Amino acid sequence: MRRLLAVARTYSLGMFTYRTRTLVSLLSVLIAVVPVYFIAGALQPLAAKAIAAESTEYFTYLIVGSVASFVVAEAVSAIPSLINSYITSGTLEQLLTTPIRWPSLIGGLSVYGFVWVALRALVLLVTAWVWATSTIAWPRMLEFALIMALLGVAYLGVGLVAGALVLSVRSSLFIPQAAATLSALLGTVYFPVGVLPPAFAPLAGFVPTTPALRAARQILLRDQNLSVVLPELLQLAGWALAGAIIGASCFHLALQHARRAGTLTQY
Amino acid sequence: MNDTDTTAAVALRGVTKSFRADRGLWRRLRGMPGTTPQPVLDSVSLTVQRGEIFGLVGANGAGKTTLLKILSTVLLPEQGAVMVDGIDALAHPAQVRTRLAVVPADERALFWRVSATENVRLFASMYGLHGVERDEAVQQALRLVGLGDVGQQQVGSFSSGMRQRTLIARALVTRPPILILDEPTRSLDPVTARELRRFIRDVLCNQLRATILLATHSTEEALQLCDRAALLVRGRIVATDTLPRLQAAVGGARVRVRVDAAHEARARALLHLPVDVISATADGMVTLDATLPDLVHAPVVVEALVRAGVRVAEFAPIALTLADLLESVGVPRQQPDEALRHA
Repeated sequence: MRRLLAVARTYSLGMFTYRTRTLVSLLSVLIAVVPVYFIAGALQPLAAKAIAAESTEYFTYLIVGSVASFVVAEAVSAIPSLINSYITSGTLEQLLTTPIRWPSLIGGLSVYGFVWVALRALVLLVTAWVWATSTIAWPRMLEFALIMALLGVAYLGVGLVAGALVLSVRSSLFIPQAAATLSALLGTVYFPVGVLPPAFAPLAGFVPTTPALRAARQILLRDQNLSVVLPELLQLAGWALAGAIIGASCFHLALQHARRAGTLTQY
Repeated sequence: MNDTDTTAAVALRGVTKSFRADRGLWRRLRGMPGTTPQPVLDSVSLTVQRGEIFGLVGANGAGKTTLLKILSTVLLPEQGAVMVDGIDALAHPAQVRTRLAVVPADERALFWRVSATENVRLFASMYGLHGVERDEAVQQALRLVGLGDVGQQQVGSFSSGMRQRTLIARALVTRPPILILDEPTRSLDPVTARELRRFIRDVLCNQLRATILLATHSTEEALQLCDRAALLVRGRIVATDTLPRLQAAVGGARVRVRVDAAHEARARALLHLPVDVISATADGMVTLDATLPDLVHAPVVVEALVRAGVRVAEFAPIALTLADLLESVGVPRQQPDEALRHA
């Protein structure tokens, strides 16, 4: 754990030096809320019935969906992107000459990204809370965070598989983009399963975002407790477990392959 | 593995490695040229004793870095045995990583947007140091490489020499018994490179008593630093010895002789030189490069030239170059004793 924290500290200190980028990124979250608010307001009469089981207001429905998409985007793309840049600079190979194990290394390098996602999500939720007519159940924030964490772990598996591909063939083969797109289109980020074409609706069950958002909205927008969303929670936990096992296995094998093939660095 | 291998700092036996020159997935699937593995190391065996500075000398692409990567456990050989500090590096890589530290050739491996102190601190933590012990070790390592006063500055604002020193401080922070230096002076100016070599010899070797494996394509560097060196050519070790003995074994002592142009033919005959080695100057002199068995015979050769009536303006040894070493293993030179016999 000390090694993980040491990597997280150094990486975060480096990222904190990008002050302008940090500020612009936060401001862009605030600005992005504006069109969402007006578009959601305009669509409210049309969406109200379809989203009724999860939210009374389409604006907050979209905001919670956006938070989930932040988590998914970070989980699927951070690892392959870092691996790619650290292979190019030789940093990955250097770090692996030390006694650190890869889970600590990857964990340490991922901490900053997820903390940053949490901060942006908080800004988004607070902004939405100020503007929204419905309420956000702030006391349920820890339960909401747990659901988002499980969603993050489920998709971290995809990120690890993509990272494994970068280690092996220097390309993630567009897996992160495909996963994020499928999550957005099928995972009820912007619209409920009911409005999907009948041919695609059953596929929503194979996307971890679907149970995660159903549970998250029940908790945060309808002030329900975890026991109410236990089936969704168990389903999400299953996804997280499968993601972690498959992702870790693939990454471990890819690391072994990279040590044989010499792809830990770019010659 | 024999007893020497387990007591030596580093021992390699029959290490073989090959790479695909082209690793593109689609090109590999289509069986394009360059996608089949090419040998990079061919049955390499060597032993480095404790406390020794051992040089891996070779041209670019000879396999030096690959060999160092196998030692540092980030690359696995196809065949062979690797012992580091008495530990089988292929069976117990995690243990080996606690015994050695690597100073890479590429300074981009540092975290440029944080301070030198943070860079060194990270590596200290990786090796299990923490708290006051870690902070003291970090400061000590930075002071040792002369960066004690600028440790709080961002590495990105450093010169190449300072970054190289940061890499060394990072490797030294846990005082590993074995240090691997991959072309440490590659990006340095001549003055900084000389300072760094002095530091390696005086501090790392004499003061800290570390075993050092140094990859370089500079024979000057190897001559100044290394107790012994292995000459690596296209993945094979063609000679391993002390540098002066390597010099003598592969090419004898090279000397530059400047003589009156009018006496060129006589000098050429005495030194038994081929016709194409010539460089004329405006002052009516010509410069000839010759090879002697060793420099002890130089006075005899000068005396023979003078006795034959050749006006000698300069007679000086030439530093051994990598090209000389490589030429000596790839291209046969004239036999040095021929020159002596004529003298």
